[in-house]
Amino acid sequence: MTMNLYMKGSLAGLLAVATIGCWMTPEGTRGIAEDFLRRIGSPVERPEKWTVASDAGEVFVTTNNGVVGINPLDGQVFWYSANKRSETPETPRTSVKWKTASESRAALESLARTFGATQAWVPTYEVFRLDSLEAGKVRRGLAVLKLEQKVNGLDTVNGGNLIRLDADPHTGALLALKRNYLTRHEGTTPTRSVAEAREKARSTLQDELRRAKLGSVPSIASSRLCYSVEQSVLNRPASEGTVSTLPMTARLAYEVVFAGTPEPHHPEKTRQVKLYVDAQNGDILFRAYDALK
Amino acid sequence: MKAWTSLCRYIRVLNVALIATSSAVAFAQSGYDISFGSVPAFFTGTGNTLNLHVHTYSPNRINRIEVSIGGVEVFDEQWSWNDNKVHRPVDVDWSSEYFSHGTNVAYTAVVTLWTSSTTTQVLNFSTTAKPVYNKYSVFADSSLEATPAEAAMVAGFLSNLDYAEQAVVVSDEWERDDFTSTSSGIGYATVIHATCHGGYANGEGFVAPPISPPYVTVANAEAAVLSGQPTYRPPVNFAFISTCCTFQDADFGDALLSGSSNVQNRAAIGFRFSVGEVSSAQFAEKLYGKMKDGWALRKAAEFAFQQTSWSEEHETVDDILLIVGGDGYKLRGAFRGLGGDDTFNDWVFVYPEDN
Repeated sequence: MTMNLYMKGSLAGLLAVATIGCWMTPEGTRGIAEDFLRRIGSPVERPEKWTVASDAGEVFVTTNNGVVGINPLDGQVFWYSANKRSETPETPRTSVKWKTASESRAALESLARTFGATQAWVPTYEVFRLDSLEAGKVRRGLAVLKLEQKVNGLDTVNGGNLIRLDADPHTGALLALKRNYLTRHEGTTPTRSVAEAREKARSTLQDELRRAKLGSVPSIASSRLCYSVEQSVLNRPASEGTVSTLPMTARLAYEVVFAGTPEPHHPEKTRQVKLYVDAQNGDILFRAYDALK
Repeated sequence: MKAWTSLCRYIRVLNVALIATSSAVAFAQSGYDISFGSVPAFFTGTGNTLNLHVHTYSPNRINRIEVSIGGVEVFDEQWSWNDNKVHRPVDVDWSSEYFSHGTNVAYTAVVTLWTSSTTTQVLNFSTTAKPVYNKYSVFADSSLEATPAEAAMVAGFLSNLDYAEQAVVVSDEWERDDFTSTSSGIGYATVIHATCHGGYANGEGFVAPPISPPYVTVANAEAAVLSGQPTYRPPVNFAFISTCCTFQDADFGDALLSGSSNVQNRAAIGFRFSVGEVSSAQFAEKLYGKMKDGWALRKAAEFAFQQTSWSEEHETVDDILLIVGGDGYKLRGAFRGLGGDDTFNDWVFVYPEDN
């Protein structure tokens, strides 16, 4: 039987993998994007016309309904943005796919599970609203669910695995998807005490007062165990890929939160400097010194 | 990527009678063909190349070619042509230094042919060169730790897209007049990136230079970008004011886009409220990273938003970023003048692939 490598659809992607050994051929990536659109219930039109662009460790397929971002290392979809929404309706739409936040969450959570989000991934951000009139204009409804992975019951404060899905509650159409799924976690039991971590954070901040834009070290407000990715990994240039396409390691850490101080340039606002101390070797993993512009 | 296109003009000379000091030599029909290939109809910077193709037919020969542009000789070469139908591309390097950049839009190339030591034929080729105007200004308040790297990143992207640098100011000592300067600031640039403090007071947004007050107000911004329009510069192409709160409403963005009601291929963006210096620098890097790949502004902004921690706190990118102008704006385009005289009226925004 002759295999036609140029057939549309998922078969093209599988054939590309089997025959060429790499799914990152244009046919293969179009096949992955087509599979994705069908999976989310989007119409698929003329995949052979879709454009494929590759840059900085990411592949993007522009389809008839938005852009699909694919990780060339494993063929996974890590990002999606549907085409620009149709014009805002003149009046709030009455037909509804998901009438309540519960229905919306259930539907989006079900979809998220198909992308590898397990029961250990918990909701950390949700939006549900239907179309409404505000100041005489229609504000489009929106349903958002973000699930983040908890490891050993702990949060990953930066670069952790997550999935965020944006959808239209009136139609159920997926509007956007973002996934981080490549972070592994190290450490289950701290070998440094919380007192050691707090002192390490305090002394580090003392040495970096100028960098932290503080006049003196504030008192420590709180501390807790969490996981944190090392800062230089998160600060990779855009040309070296994103957190969604390159593996990362989050280490068991103590989050040390300092008491709030006035923002240097917005004194009416309060800023809390945080440092993340490796719970096993005492290194400073991450500094949250961000000051407001 | 050069922001100029090739304009191929082909002139076929028929039945040319030479004016000679001695015996007249008439070229037979189709004696020779001369055409311009790769004539830069749009020029920017220096190093533009004019390709002159010469094709002769038996029994005529061309022994020497001289090319002058704008009255300045740019090429003069002699050789022996042994065979008929010799097709010889002649690369002539000519520099836009011959022109006052931004003023002359028409030039004439004069080709002089010698078929003998004394027999010449002078041919004139005229075309209109349409200047490209792409200048950027990047201002960073270096008292904010993340801004120098942000400024370097933005300048790098823009220079790789063939934008002509106008100013990159990374300092904690610049003031309002530096920012609004017509020689190095937003008063001369068509792409603007500012990463510094800002705010919203008295019903309008403002930019706060490192040394301020005075702040850059909506009126200051409008006056600066209107300077020189439309005669010597086009409207602002793109502006990203990476400051706190300046884009709480659209007034500052509208001021930056002053000069033309056509905003389809122009945009100004900024933040609706306070943003962190590090997170905003990360956003800028992701945004420009996708825009330099040809992504339209809105798609690039959505992507950048999703890559930052802002997506954990806000519904959509529109909650934090205000886009004034065209959602579909693409960074790779440029303004080109269409004026047939020395002015720049009728600026048209063109993408490289439209050449």
